Amino acid sequence: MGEAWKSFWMGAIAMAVIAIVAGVVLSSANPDSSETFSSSSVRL
Amino acid sequence: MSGSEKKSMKTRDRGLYPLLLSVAAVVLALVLSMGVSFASDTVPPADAVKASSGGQVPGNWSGNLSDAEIWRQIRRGVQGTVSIPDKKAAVLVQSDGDAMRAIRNGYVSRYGIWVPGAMIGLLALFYLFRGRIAIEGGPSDKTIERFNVLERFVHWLTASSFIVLALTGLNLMFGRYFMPALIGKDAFATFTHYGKLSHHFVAFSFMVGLTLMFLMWVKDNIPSRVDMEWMFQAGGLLSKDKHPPSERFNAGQKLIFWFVIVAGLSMTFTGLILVFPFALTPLGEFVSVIWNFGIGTPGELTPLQVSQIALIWHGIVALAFIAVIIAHIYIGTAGMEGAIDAVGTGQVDLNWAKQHHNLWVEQQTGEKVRHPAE
Repeated sequence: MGEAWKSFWMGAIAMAVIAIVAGVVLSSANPDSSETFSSSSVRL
Repeated sequence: MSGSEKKSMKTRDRGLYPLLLSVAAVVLALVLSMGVSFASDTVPPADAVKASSGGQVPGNWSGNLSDAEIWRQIRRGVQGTVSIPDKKAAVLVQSDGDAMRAIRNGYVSRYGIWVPGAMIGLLALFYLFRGRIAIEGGPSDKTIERFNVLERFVHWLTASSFIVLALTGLNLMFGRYFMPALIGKDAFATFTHYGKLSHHFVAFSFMVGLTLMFLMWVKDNIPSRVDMEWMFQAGGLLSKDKHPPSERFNAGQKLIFWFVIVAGLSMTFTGLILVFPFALTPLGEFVSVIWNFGIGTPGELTPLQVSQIALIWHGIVALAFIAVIIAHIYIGTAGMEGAIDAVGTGQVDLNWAKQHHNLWVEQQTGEKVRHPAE
């Protein structure tokens, strides 16, 4: 890894890490479509 | 089959026609008589027809509203109530979606692609006119640190995020027009699905980068009187003989910095609305207020309308953003000798620094800078 591209790779890896963390958090927080469109758990 | 057998079948077929016609006539008569009977039972009294006004049907013979009025309201997007978790289902027909889709897939995508396209054309003309801006006096054997490791890291965090967002976003807007022909419909669908997920998730990397970049560089991007001179001389970009004074960032870089911050915030704002359309109510209320040129009221727009406006705005700003960043990439690489080192090793040639950021070099070295070509 050349010195010139070291900061580039650091930034790119950080981008991937933040995106993966965001993906995990969002995926666990959002209900999936089967729940969203379900009529089995109605809230009147 | 012999000729006599064919003749016999034709004779039988001809014999069936009168029978079929008779049956059809009987069925038709039955249907018509039922229809007449039904109609006579449901025709409103003559006085009710006379008294109807304003869409209201008097006599309450068919409820408070006519069917036509009910369907008119549904077509206009009236919201009812549902008991399932997906509250969007309370709107049967969201008519604004038609208009917004027509704008996005029409005006925005048809003419929007010309914005980055025009920028590439302008840069090509500029390159033909000016060529690559060289280090006047040639490279020296000395370097000066332009950006430290944290600054370079933040630059590339933001830049790599932007590239992923731009490519996946362009695919969402324009991919349908050419990608299926290139890689097939199934591969395009898979690529777009994962591209959209990446777009959502990498957006958070971009937000982190944008925030850090603002905190790091805002103090060096406050407009000053020197910037006016730089602007009047067009940064010396059009002539080899002009070298307007510049601080750590010249006026052009400051303009790009503030554009990135404002456009980045705008993209973040609309992007969050699109990812969480029914969760971030305050953002939606803000859109409602700034809607109609600032004379909107909170709650004027439904969450779906807010999302649709956000989608259009997201696309327009994105295309302008991409165009500006194309120019930024050009001037940092092919357009100017020695510029890429600033975000590569962080060390730039001293003559390059004196040529483009003389006041900054004076500040760093404490020495009066003479232009390297003088």
